[in-house]
Amino acid sequence: MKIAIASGKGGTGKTTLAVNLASYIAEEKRNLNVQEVVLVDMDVEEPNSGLFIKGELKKTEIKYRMVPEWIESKCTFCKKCANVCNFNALAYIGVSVLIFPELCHSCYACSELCPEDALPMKADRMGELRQYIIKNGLHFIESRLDIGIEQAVPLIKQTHEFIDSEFDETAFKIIDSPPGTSCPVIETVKDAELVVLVTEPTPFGLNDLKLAVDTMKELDKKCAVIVNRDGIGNDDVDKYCAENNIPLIGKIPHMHEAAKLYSQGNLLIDDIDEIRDVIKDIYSNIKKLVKG
Amino acid sequence: MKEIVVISGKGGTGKTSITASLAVLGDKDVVLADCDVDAADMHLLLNPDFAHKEKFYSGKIAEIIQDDCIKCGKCKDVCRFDAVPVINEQYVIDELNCEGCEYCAYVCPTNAIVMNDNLAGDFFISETRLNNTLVHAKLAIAADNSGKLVTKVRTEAKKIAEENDIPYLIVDGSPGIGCPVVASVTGSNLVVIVTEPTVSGLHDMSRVAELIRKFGIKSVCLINKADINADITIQIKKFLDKYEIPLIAEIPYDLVFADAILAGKTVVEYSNGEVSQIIRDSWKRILEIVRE
Amino acid sequence: MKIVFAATGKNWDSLVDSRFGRAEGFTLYDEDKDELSWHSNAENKSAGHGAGVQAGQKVASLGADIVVTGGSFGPKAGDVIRAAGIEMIPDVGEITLKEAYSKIKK
Ligand code: SF4
Ligand code: SF4
Ligand code: SF4
Ligand code: SF4
Repeated sequence: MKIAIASGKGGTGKTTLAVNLASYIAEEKRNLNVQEVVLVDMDVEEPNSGLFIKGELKKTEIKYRMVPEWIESKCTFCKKCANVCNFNALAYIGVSVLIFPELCHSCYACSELCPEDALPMKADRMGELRQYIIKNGLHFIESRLDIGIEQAVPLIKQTHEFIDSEFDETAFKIIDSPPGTSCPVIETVKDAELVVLVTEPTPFGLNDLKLAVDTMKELDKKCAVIVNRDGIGNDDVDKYCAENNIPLIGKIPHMHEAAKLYSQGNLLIDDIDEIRDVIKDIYSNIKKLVKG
Repeated sequence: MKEIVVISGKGGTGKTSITASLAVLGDKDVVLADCDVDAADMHLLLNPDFAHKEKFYSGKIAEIIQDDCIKCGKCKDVCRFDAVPVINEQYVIDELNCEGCEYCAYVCPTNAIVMNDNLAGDFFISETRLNNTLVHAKLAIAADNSGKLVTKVRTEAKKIAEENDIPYLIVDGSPGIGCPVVASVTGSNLVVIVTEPTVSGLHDMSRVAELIRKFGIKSVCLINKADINADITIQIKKFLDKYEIPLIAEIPYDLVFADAILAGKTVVEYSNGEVSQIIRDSWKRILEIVRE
Repeated sequence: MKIVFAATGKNWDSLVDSRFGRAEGFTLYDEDKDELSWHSNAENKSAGHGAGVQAGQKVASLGADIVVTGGSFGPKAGDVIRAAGIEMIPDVGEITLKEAYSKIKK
């Protein structure tokens, strides 16, 4: 089972939910009859789930993408590659061909259109994937783009491939998505069976939630909503969910204590029973939705 | 004209509320730009009239002219982005996947593939209820937020400020530390970093501060919810000292932020309490520093 | 000698553009023929990333010996122009092409 946790905007408590839900399931694994629990931080530009859970590093994999390399000795300066690249990653300047790997989208066009095979694709480092094992048995995976690399999508794709090969269907996979509605988010939620959208009960929260819901509709994704910091605002989010038939599967109450624990980088479920109960309900609601 | 950009890293720190409050305090002396094009919220507080609206295009997207297609399948073979599915025995483009590389168009034997401009969002120039100008935008679903739309918003806002002799441009910067935020700060006169004393707040603000330093832009910092975690507030201060970033305000944790949003107002309009006073003082400090 | 100016217009009285990758266009002065020609940069002005790369490629394709801009070239454009063996003159400021030309002749 693969579920994604997303939000229209950062700072709504998406990571808090992902980390606490994953930890809860890991702690209760036996009772809940779950084989393995995996938490994946797909916010590859700025992963920070790791600030909240500490574990033992099990594996590091360097991740690569393909970019062309110019082989001067093969080049006949035929000029065919001059205007092929739509991303300005290649410049033909008569005396040489320059490649700017950070702009390359790995489309292979220049490489395969070159009649002399003078632009073979070669692997270029884009980031690192790390797999940790946490005390409570949770598997935690985090991918991080190298500084200066702009294409997040290839790393997200490879991280999905990694978790799919490492864990089978029986594992409960929770994907912490980057915020927003842009390409990396689309890639992250692509094969999720359910997208859980986290929001706050304020006009800002509702506005961001609508953007996220529209995106998920476009992708034909089943979604559910969780309200964080319940109590600080109004019930417009409830109304919106009811009107649009989106299941509202949990409300995490606003508590000063929770804000404090969060600020310290601590789990909420370990210290606040009320929140542990909410997380428990969220878990069973998710199970129902994914089955049904 | 001086350009002041407010940023915060990941979000949830009250950046937009504070930015909008500064705009109220600046009154007629301010043009506003909302560069949070992924999930713009400023309009919820300022009731813009969306008087000027235009489409914003960025990059390309392929289209197959079915009448010209001989179904050879070459396009599908070369596409590295799985963007050419066969539906009802027709080769078609999956717009969500198409990267716009044009490789398919190069290899199509009948020139059946045309490249269209890709709609990346909507761009607006509005009069707000405060009677100043707000330049804002909305990124299209699944669009690539490369910073282009952000640049457009800033450039247009700058032009308006210069043409009308308005002394300040206040920019609600983009979230994160990637391309959009770079596009929202380069060449500005002052960056105001809004942070909060949480492990992720500290983490984000240090990344952001390093980025700004690289560009050599003057910056100041404002700690929101400063009393939520005394230890981290001290760490933030140490960091600011080391980087020689002046701390201009510490705002205590206060639900007035949420209450003001609910009322559709900025904090300084909604209340005359402590928080509003601190924001007023901050605006004065910001003006002093930016004029130096 | 061919000199290319990042420019906002096509005459000697036009201003040097302070941008390079996203300049309005490029004005080429061919000293041998004593001729000015204009090469629009419209397609690049709105490029997402890598405007500098494209602009650099363009200047190289014009056969420039020297390229002038009002501000800086940017790292990527700099790489392209350097590789093409063209001399770069940055930071001449927002002056007219005529002024810039006499400045570099000194
Ligand atoms: S297409 Fe190949 S052979 Fe032709 S100029 Fe480019 S790299 Fe050289
Ligand atoms: S692989 Fe594609 S994106 Fe990369 S340099 Fe070649 S043409 Fe450009
Ligand atoms: S433009 Fe590129 S990504 Fe789009 S369909 Fe053609 S080959 Fe695929
Ligand atoms: S390459 Fe051209 S003709 Fe062949 S299937 Fe694609 S669109 Fe049709």
